[in-house]
Amino acid sequence: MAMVPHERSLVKKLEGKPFALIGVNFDNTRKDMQDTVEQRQINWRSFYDGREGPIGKQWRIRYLPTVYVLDAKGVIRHKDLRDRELDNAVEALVKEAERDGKPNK
Amino acid sequence: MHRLLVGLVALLAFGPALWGQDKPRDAKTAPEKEYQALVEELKKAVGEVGKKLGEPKTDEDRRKVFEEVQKVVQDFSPRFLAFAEKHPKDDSAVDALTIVLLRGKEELAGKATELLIANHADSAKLTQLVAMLGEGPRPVVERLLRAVRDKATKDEAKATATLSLAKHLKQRAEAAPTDQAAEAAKLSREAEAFFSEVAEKYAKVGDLAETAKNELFELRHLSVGKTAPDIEGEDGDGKKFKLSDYRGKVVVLDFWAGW
Repeated sequence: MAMVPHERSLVKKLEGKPFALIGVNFDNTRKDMQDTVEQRQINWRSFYDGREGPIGKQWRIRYLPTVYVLDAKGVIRHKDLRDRELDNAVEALVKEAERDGKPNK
Repeated sequence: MHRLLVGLVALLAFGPALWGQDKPRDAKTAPEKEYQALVEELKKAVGEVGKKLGEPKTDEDRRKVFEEVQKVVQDFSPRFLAFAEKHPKDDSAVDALTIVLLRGKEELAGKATELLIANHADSAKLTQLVAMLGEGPRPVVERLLRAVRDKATKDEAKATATLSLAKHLKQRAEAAPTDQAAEAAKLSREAEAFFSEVAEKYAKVGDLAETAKNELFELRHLSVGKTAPDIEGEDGDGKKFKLSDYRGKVVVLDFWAGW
């Protein structure tokens, strides 16, 4: 949960850019998750997966948090980055996405 | 010998060889007795380091002690090799040769590997060691694992060596610097081939095949460079959505919990 403030500001910073923060949550109940979202002012969407859900199994999640960074084509580009490193990686990929999106490169 | 040195000796010199053994083993055979005597002598030599350098107070002090102990073990390693050459088939030779391989002089590694393969390729003791050797990118470890994989005849020994080798190569691929992408890809491919082999050929060997299958899935679908599997699920409001809805955007996928 320590990453939340940082992630909140990353979401705000990149508003209007080709970027999304998507969570996968493992709380006991959907209500627990919603309570946390409210308390911590979480401003991104999450899949609710529960304690033993299929998403956690599919992604072989062994520890939390686990963070993957995907580029605009859905390719995994980084795993378990935090703070400054996460920001830099994301910003570089957003630039890449904006470049690729323009007809004349 | 003060506590830091005891800890260092255990960790540095004897890690794999004496895992889970805080007290000296019952020396039943003559070679075993001889091996234990060598170990005691090494411990004494390490103790001398403590007397010479005194109690470490700073990180720099600790680094000096560590380096000094490493040197002592290295200088001692020819005696462990000589012991193994004298009693090549004894179980204690596996311990002695492990020390030589992992902590001894580099030039002795080839001979130590040879002796292990010639006399212990199928032994349960070496298989146990090999199971724990996936971690750590050392050329010496890789040589041993490849040799056991080639020369062992028992499924248990071959499968364990192949799985450890696959993990070792995967680790090396992950640790490769970003400007060595081609080398990293090559290592990944070889790791994948070995995981595949264990999953397919060694279904009967304990849960090695199961481990291999999981690793294979991770390598094929969850590693850097692979297209992420799609996710279908519901959000906090129960509304359905997919990860692929966000194609065209950079996505940070955060697996989290409030607890």
